[in-house]
Amino acid sequence: MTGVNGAAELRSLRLLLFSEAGVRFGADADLIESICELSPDVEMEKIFRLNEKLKCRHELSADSSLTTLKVRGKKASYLIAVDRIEEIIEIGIDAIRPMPMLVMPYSIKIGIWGVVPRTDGLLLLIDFTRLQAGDNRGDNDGI
Amino acid sequence: MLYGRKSMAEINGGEKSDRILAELRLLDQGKQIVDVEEAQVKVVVFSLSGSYYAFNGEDIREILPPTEISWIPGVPEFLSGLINVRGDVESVIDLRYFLNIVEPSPKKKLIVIAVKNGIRSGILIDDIIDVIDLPITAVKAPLATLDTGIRDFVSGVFDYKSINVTLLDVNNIFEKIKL
Repeated sequence: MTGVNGAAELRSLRLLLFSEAGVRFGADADLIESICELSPDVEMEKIFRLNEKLKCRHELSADSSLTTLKVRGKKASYLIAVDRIEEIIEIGIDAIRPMPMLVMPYSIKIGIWGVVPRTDGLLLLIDFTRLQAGDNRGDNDGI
Repeated sequence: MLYGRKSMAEINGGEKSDRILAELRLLDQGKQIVDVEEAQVKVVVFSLSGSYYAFNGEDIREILPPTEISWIPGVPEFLSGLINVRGDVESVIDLRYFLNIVEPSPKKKLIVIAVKNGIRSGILIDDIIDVIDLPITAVKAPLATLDTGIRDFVSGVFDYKSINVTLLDVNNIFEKIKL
C-alpha cells in the first residue's frame, strides 16, 4: 500500500527504549548501528552526552555506568551516551501522540517530537537527527 | 440624610462614621438587586497559593484530580510537563510563573483542562472553590496599581463572598506561551 507521493505508508515503528536522567525515551531503532558499554579507549570528546544536550535536571552521571549508542548520522556515525538501555519494541503509528501544541515548539528543538502513552508512564520519542543537528560533532568527527 | 435629633456637630467621630457606614451598606444592598434579564457569565473560582482566581467557565472543559505529571526536558519552567488523560496527552501549565507567585504550594494540585482558540492545555490549581453565574456588570476592571507583568493575564476582578477574585484570561496565557 502506498501513501502520499507513492511512498510506502509507515504502519509501525521500531523503537529502542532507553532512559536518561529518569526520563524514558524511544528512538528509531533503525538508526542505531550498535550498542556498547562505554569504553575507556573512546575519546570522551567524541561522545555526544544526551543529558548535556537535553539539560536534564540531574547532574551528569559518572562515566563508568553509561552505555553508548552508535547512531547513523547524515554524514557519519556518532556516539551518544545514555544512562540505561531497556528494550526494542515495535509500536503501531496509531499509538503515537504528537506533542501538545504549546510544548512542541520547545521540545522539537531538542528532537523530542512525540509521545507514547503507556501503562507504565509516558514515553518521549526523540529524533537523534534533529537533536544532532544542534551539535556538529557527528558531522565533522563521526566514527 | 437624617441622623436623629443630634446635629452633625454634636455627633462624635466614632458614631458618625458608624452611621455613614450603615448608610453605605444600604446603598450597596440596593445595587445588588439584579435585573433578571442582566447578562451573566459562568465562572470557575479556584484557589492558588492562598488567593482566589477564576476562569471564564466556557474556557474550561473538565477538572482532573491530582495526576502524575511527566517532566519534559528542554521546555520552560512554566510548562510543568505532560499528563495522560484517557489516552490523550495534554500539556500542563504552572500559573505561578505568570502571577509572580514565588512560594510553592504544598497541596497536591488539581488540573483544569482549558481550551481556547484551538489550543488545549491543563492548568495547575490548588482547589476548586465554586462555579457561579456572575452578572457581567459585577466584573470590574483590574486595579491600575496591578503589576504590569500580571495585568496582561487579568480580565477583571469581582467579589465572591467578600473575597476579591481575579478573573484570568486563558487566551492571553496561551498566547504568552506560544512560540
